[in-house]
Amino acid sequence: MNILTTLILESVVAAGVLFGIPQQQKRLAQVIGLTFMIISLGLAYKLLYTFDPSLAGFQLVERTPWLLDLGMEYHFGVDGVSVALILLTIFMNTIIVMCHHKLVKHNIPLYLSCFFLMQGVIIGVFSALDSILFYFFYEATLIPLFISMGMFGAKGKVRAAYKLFLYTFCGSAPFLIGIIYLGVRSGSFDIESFFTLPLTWHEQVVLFMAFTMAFAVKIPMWPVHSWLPDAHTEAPTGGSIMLAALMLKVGAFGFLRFNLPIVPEASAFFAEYMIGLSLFSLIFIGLVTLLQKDIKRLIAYSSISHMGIVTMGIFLMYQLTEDAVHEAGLLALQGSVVQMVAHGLSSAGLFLAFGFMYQRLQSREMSSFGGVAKSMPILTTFFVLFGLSNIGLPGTGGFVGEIMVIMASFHVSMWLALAASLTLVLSASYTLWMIKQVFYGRITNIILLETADIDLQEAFVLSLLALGVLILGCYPEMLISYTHQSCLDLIETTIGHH
Amino acid sequence: MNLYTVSASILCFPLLGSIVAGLGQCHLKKYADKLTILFLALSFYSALYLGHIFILEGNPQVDLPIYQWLSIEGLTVYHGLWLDALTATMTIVVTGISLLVHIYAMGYMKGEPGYARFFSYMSLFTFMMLCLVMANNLIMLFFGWEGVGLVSYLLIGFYYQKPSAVKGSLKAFLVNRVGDMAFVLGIATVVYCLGTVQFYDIFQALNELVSKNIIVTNRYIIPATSLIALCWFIGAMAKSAQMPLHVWLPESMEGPTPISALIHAATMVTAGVYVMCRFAPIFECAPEVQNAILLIGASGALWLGLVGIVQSDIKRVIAYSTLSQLGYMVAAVGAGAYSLAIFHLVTHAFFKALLFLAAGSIIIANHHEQNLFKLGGLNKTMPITGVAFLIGALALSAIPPFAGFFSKEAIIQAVGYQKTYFLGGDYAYICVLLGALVTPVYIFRAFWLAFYSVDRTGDEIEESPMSILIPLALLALGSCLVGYVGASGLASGNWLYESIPIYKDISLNVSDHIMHELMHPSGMIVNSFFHLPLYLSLLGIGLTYACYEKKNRFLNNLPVNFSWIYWALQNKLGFDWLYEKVLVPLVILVGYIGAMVIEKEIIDKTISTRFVRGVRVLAQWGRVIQTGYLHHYVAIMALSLVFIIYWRIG
Repeated sequence: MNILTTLILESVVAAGVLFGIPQQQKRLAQVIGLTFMIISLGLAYKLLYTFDPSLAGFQLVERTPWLLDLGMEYHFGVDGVSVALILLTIFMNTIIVMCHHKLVKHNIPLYLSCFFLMQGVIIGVFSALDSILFYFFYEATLIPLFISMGMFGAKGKVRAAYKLFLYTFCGSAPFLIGIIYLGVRSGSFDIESFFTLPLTWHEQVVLFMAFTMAFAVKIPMWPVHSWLPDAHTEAPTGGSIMLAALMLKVGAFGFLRFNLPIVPEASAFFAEYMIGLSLFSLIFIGLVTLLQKDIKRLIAYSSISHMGIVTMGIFLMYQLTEDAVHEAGLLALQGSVVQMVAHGLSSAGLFLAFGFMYQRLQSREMSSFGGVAKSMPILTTFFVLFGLSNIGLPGTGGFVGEIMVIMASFHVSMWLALAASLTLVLSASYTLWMIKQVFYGRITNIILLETADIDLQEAFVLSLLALGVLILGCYPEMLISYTHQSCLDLIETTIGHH
Repeated sequence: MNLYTVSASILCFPLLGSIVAGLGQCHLKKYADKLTILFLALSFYSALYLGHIFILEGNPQVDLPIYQWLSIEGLTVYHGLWLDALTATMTIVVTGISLLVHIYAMGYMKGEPGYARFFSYMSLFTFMMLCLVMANNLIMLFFGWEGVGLVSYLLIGFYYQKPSAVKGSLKAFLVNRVGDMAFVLGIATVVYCLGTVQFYDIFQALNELVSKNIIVTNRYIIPATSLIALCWFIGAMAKSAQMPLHVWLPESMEGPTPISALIHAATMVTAGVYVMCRFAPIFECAPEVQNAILLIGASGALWLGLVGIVQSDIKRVIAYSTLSQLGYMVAAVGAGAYSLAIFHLVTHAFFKALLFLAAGSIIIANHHEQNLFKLGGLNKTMPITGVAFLIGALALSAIPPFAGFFSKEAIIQAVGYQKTYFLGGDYAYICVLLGALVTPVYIFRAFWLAFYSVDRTGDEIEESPMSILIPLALLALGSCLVGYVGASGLASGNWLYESIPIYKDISLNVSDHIMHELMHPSGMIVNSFFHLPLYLSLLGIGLTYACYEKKNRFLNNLPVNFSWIYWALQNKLGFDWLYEKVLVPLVILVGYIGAMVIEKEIIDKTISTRFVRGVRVLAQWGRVIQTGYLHHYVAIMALSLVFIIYWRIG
């Protein structure tokens, strides 16, 4: 059996088995969860080594006729970007499984089941090559997220869960219509067959709008972002990690898979608006972040601001002159892929480290913290490290993507680069402000005096993420060598028939 | 030893020390100080060897690649080391001062909580600084550049429970970030023009760089070199604390004194000067930026020195002195005398570290009392510290034959030589000249107040322990000798000549001029008696003596008679007010409007509340016809049928 199918099936089976375990059987659930986690890791290892990053096009393709009458097929395959994101997915799930018992006390089987389902579904999104399958998985990501929020979330979870659901659902309805239209036009729902479809200008514009509606909500871009801060604050830590590290990337991935290759001319036309919106959310949301008082809300807003870099990198190539596009365009695209992974690692780290703190203090308000460094020095070290990656300090992952996109944006205009580099100052301001309020100063909250620092298990999980952040910062070539060829392909397909 | 081993040991030992001291648990923590010192000693030894190869033997520069960081079409970055006389000089200064400060910290930080953490941070700082000065490409340079900023942030906030320390650290990082932003833009400009970040390629493609232009607006283009020079100068402005981005340095004094000596006097703050000298060829091609550099540097040398006169905290006096001396270095860069900037950097590293460490010795002996007006009469109880401070003060005041004399005298001459060439050159020259008067005033004011005048301490004061005195003695020795040795090196043309390639007439002239007329050290001392600066320095010392020892009434009444000047100086010329009361609130206001009005009221209310309500209202309307009564449905059906038939026929 193909490795992608195996991975998805394995995750879904894990979710099913865990779902069947009664609530009280905590141990059993943990053992099963751990076993499936190890299997996933083994499969991830196999995926990494069977994938050949030097080849163009999709690999590990599995294609079986399925509902041929409708033009649907069972069609999976990966390119470099999807491999990187799939590995990130499995890594994040590993993190969640390894520290679930520190974060949730009741109904552990359901908790684990949710995240295994999420792993399977998100892998499905990253590897589906049939548009209906893609849509299926894309929508299905909401189910485990919705359940995990509803079961394990904080006080305002109901409102947040509905907000999340409505936003993403409203966004993806036009997307479904769009792919149905394309499917009817080409006679098949195969995504690759869409690439070569000759579309008129009007079709392209309408389709671009439909796709963008879905993905902009998911990323999220200003002004359709307001579900994210709510979802983050109310979601349990695991949900926040998955949301920040992967769900947002699903949106960006959608841009790469649908908007750029299928409607290149419309993408080129709208590129300047998209870049404008990205810049606006980069700067405006950065300023808004400064004013946040709830820690999780602050990290959520900073995510929106950082995803601005990603969307900007994606659409930058259309603004470049023909001789610069193959170099600077690639730099920008590659930069936004690196930024996706780096932001995934650092925001997951921030949410997880905060989750450990929340577990001890049961508060998200910055004002109820202060002087945490005194009672929890190890946690502080980790939090500051992830914060530094969020700031984009060289040597951490956050720097690489940012500087690549900024360097590429200079090819468009000096002012664009200047505006994009404002993120350096803004992100430093809000992140360090939060660190100052939460970790430094005198202890004001009495509970903090008796709070124990994180134990070895928690420290181990955090150090895995920290290692990821540092390796990405010191040796980004490792990631880039995997994604390089597919970014190149993407530029060829996009610019080629542009 | 081959070059790889030498440079690897210079770089890696401090990192190793930092990791061991930082991560080592319990039993290792006891040895954190000794281990880091041992590692640094090894690093320093290797740095000396590097100095032997590149400075004494005068070998040409070497570009040692280590690994490929990034490689895609159009941009390849391989990290590695760039070794030449300039790098060797910087590594010797960095590792040497760092070693002495480590030893000093053993005594100074004794018994403080976080003792091992302190050593770990200091070694980490040394590593970052070495990355900065040894980098062979801009990305690695920027890594070191931000890295030193980070450790500086961590160390200023070392006493993280003290609000002023935390505030100072935040301010330092954020102001530096503004400079970093400009620095990144400079890197982006280089990549845009040349598609590379390697020093080697940049220097090779200099002619190509000169021919490139950057479009600013549709009508207006500027040369790429100007933009790069401007961006990096703004970066240097933040890091080397030039006006108007200098505001963070005085507040960085909240950190422990050893790091004020290491980071905020000897090494990190000179990084900006180093970068400008490293890229001297680019700065040379941007005369208008050079002009700005000269003016800003010279202004800082005078005005920030003046602010130092009214400070009452001994560390802040020295901090403002650092600002003023950095102004001299930057002015030298502006005047095209790059090697003099580096020369002053080196001498300054010695005497300023000495002054800070001596101040630290006073502070620790007086139970953390930093107010000059609460000290006094220490010459009796702390004679060795007193002598060390005096040597530092003499070197700072450019009294021959101490270190500061050679470098500062040369810079003043260089600025004077160039004054006709630059716009506002006369102003710059007057600034650096008057700076020579101001320097002894603030430092000897501190000297008389702390060591002479009346004993206000009211306490039994003891001289500091050996681990504090030995570094003081070594630095004092350095402050006596380095100037003479360095000047001989510059005069013989071996030192720095190869590593700072200059070819524009303006800089060549000034370096020739300095070489021939000034650089013979003993001749320079003799010549100085015919030059104004020496007399200005002596006048400054005399004035403070009259004011604080002889209690001259006229001088003591100056603050009252010229209260508005005093007021302006007390308020640090208004820079802090501008930032803290105008700019920051403005940004917060915009953020507030964004968060409260746009985010909450408009977007959230419109989409999630009004939209949802709209759907509900629509549903209410729809519900009207869904009554569930059969006769209603039949009536609607009949009506529709009538309507359709009518429509078909009509």
